[in-house]
Amino acid sequence: MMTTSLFIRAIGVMNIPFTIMIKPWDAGFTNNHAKNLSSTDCETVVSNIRDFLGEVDMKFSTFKSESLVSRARLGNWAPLLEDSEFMEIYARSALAKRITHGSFDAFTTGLYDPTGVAKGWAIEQAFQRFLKPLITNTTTAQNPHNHEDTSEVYSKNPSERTRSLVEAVALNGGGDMQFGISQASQFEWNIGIENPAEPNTILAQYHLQNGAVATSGFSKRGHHIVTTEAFNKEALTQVTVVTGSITDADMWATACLAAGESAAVGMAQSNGFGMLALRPDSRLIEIQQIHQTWDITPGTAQSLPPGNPSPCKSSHARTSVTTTQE
Amino acid sequence: MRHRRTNAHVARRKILGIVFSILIAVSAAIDFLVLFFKPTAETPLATSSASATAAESSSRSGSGTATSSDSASSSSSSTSSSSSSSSSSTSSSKYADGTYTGALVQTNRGDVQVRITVSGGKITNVTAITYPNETSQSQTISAQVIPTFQSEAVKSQNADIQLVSGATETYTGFKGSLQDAINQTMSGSSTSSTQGQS
Repeated sequence: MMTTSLFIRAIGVMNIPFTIMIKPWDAGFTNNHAKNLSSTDCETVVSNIRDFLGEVDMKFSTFKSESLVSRARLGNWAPLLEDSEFMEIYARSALAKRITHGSFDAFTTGLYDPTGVAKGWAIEQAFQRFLKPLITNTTTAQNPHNHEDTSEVYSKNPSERTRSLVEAVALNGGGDMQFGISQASQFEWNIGIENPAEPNTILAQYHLQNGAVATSGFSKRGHHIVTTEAFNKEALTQVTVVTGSITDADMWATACLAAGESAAVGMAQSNGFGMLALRPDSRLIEIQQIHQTWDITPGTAQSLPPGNPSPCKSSHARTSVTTTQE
Repeated sequence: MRHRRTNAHVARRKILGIVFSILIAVSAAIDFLVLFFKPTAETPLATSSASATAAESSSRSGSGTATSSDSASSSSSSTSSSSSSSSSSTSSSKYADGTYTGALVQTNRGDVQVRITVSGGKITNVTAITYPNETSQSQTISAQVIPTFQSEAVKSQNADIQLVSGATETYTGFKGSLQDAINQTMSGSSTSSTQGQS
């Protein structure tokens, strides 16, 4: 019932399906407080996101021959000097390689392919620029005297500070997502982790308010991952990473998949992200995120939300690795 | 034996540290001379604004055999590959020889900076200097971080999940996917009310 008034739009850019979700305030809340975005406003947000992702694609596509990445692959690295975003992605790829001790490598195939960084970065940028303002900025609806600057009017009145335009927003780009809620909200995004063996079923559910979830696997479009004999014993079928930033989550998910089970567990523990990994024998490995949060919304996270009171009902054995060291 | 090796290690590390800090000092100095290259903004007038930092050396000849520490090497750069591509690309050889240092990219996992060497008017080397942040923290994720496990088929009619995370799928494969089904179901029952809100 909570989610009946979600605004949902799916768009295809970079040959990736993007789903944009905007959750307005419930009606009662709306009447008393802030005015919701109109559907026209939502469509504007959608087209802004579409335009932005299109620009990213023009620069970073490995399929478009005129993209900056394609030019670099042919040996023309001039974009490094000409395009700040191209340089940023190059830099981030290099950092990712360092942080993951080589498990993430934009040059795995010998050719520059920053897709693993560029995609997460694009989702995060689009989220920060076009969706996050909807849950952080407040509305002017209550302030008829104050409509001089409609774009930037985010009332200084403390009592109105938490009345953001909408309650919650999410951007899912081909299974990798960034999402968030208003400070005044208790809304939880219910996120299903797809079962690669049966894509219409899920392995598990996360209930999250703010953060990012990314999944890498061998099931669909292959990430450029090199496998070796020794690796096969450690191989994971799919890895889901839960953390605050989708750029990070995407990077870690790819790195964990490439690194194999024990290295992945180590990465999760030492870097403090949550992980859910699926082994070829259908066993699940779960690493809980180390809580280093500094923005905990009071009154959340103690209880399982209603609706799915059936933990461990699955045929998947659950190996839970807690982060307390032995 | 062990000991000596460790000592050697320490010494080497020290030297590396010194060399490294000198490099940083030098690159900072270069920054002031060269200024930061202004990236996207200069695209339309790439040639003219680039000349602020470039002392005209349009040698397209010298095929830079690049020694690159970070694999970005330029060999025979195929300029003019596609006629449609916007003018800016051909200006690749207009850069003055020297080292260009990019703006510091700050991430919550540390900082990184790209250094580009141009010689003979061509990019011959790209190095990324990384400063990983050892004590990086994961950001806020409020609410239930521990997953609940379930493997039954999801009835999207329940709308009890809104988002599906899975290995990347293509847009062409999206139709009929779980997320697609959820989108259909939820927007089907909601379109009117969303519009009514306006």
